[in-house]
Amino acid sequence: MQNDTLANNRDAWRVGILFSRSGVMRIPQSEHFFGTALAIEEVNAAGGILGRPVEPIAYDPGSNPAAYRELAERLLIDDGVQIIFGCSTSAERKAVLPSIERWNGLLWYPSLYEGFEYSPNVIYTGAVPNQNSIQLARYLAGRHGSRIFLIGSDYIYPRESNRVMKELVDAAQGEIVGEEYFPLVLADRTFDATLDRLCRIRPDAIFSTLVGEAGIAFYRQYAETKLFAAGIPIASLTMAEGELAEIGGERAVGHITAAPYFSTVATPANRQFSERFRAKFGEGCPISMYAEAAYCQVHLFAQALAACGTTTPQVLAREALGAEFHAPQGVVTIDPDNNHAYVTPRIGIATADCTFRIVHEETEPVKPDPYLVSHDYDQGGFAPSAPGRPGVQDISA
Amino acid sequence: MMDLRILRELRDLRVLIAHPHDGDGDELVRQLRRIGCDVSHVWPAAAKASERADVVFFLVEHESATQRGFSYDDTSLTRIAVVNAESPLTLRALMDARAHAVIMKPIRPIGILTNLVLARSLQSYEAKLSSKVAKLEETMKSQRLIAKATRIIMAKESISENEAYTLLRRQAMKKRVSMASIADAVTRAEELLEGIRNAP
Repeated sequence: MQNDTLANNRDAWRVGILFSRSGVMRIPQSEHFFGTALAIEEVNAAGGILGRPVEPIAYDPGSNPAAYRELAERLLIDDGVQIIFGCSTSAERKAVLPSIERWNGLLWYPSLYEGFEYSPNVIYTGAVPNQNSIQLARYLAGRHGSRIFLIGSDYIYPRESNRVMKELVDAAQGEIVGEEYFPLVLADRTFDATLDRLCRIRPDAIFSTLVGEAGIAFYRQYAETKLFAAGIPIASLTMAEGELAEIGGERAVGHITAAPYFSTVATPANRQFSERFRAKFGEGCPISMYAEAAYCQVHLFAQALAACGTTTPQVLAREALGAEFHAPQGVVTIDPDNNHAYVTPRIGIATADCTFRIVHEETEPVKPDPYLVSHDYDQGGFAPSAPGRPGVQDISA
Repeated sequence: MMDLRILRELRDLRVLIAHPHDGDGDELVRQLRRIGCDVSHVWPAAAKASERADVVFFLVEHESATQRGFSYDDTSLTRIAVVNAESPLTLRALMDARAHAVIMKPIRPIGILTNLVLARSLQSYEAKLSSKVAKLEETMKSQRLIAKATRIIMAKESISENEAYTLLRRQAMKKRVSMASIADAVTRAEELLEGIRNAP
């Protein structure tokens, strides 16, 4: 992101941005990037923070975890930046974490992930499994059945997500009828054999943790099968509006995603956010959970910085813990117990116009429980300090 | 599917932190609460506090300074040492405590769950081995007693080893006690008779 007038401003708050605009993860991460850019522009248009503008320094790690580490160190050491908005996959986040801790930065991480992490140097604003997997499994068991086929990319997020899904399917007396993993970078027609197997097995639903281009390729090939014609859905925690646009709306109709945000969320904050997003990036630019979480965390950062006046990670993080933002998805709060965010779980069904019809949403934000091992249907997550069980609203009837 | 029993039980664990109330102690408490354990923080270490604990995180300094609020021989207690030096005296104190895992100061949240899980796994294996050893020792003792009693009966009754053994076993079944206790009674009676015979 170039901005010559701000780049010369010695009073600017300099922040780093590490999202891939190229490589296999370019779709979700471009949306992270756009959400971040929009929020920084809004903060600057409103007079900056304590009268000083935010000056972003952005690098493109090209979807390569090693490049994330290298570029995070460049930001922290050479550029002298303490705040980084960045990373999408767990492999990327785990690559930068030692550097972030060693050079004392504060990473704002906007993606869903599998949990089992806490660093005082990270604020996590995406969903963890008690905020998306439980809701998705419950929905699948209720609407489609519990014979589930698992397909994923071969790294930590898919394997952990599938562990949780297996447990939930077990609890529903269901059956895992297949489990396959694929590399992030694929050859053509990689899924032919898997699709043949799927047609023979005929599961009630497929749970896909294929990310990036692999996911898009799978959904496209799946659209040619008789299972797609029969309405057997692929369920996911990562397939958002940008991916639907890439797959082609007609070829993704009926597939299911669990996420805290869809572009169709009916809140006043979302209407304003969507208008500004479209005005800046164009009518055709998809708006997704990736853009929304990235947007939201920049505003949380700006609020905290306005309150404490320093980018020293410990001081800023202390200010951010417990902070609230009226985000497009609803109120998002950073949980002081674990640096993760209270978010509002939703289930969406893909429609031909590349958006989601929301069929289920919780009535209030759910406390994050990143270290929850055993998931079951009755559990909205363990919440010692939260008031009672979160309410559930089924709006698909 | 891998065995996740230890992970599933984490939220039922009662964890005692025997560490001063400082930044490291508080960081440890917060991370264990994030994991979901039932945590109590006591300093100085007190014997009573460990009675209800499944796991203790305890500060190890050089031997004389290490506070012992619990037994190093308790096979039901998982012991995780917190150390801030790698000096020979600290290392000796660590071995004396028979720690199942170690975390280094300054405390970082990453690594605590890993050490907790590893320590639980080692302690449960160690407890299993100890109880197996105790059972084997008991069996060996019984075998020795039975062999001795069998020899006594063979001599007294002038019968074969097999016959003597069968007699013993029949008695044990009739009286509904273990063969070892019958054998014990026989050998004690024999010793008593010996004593009377040899009395001046």
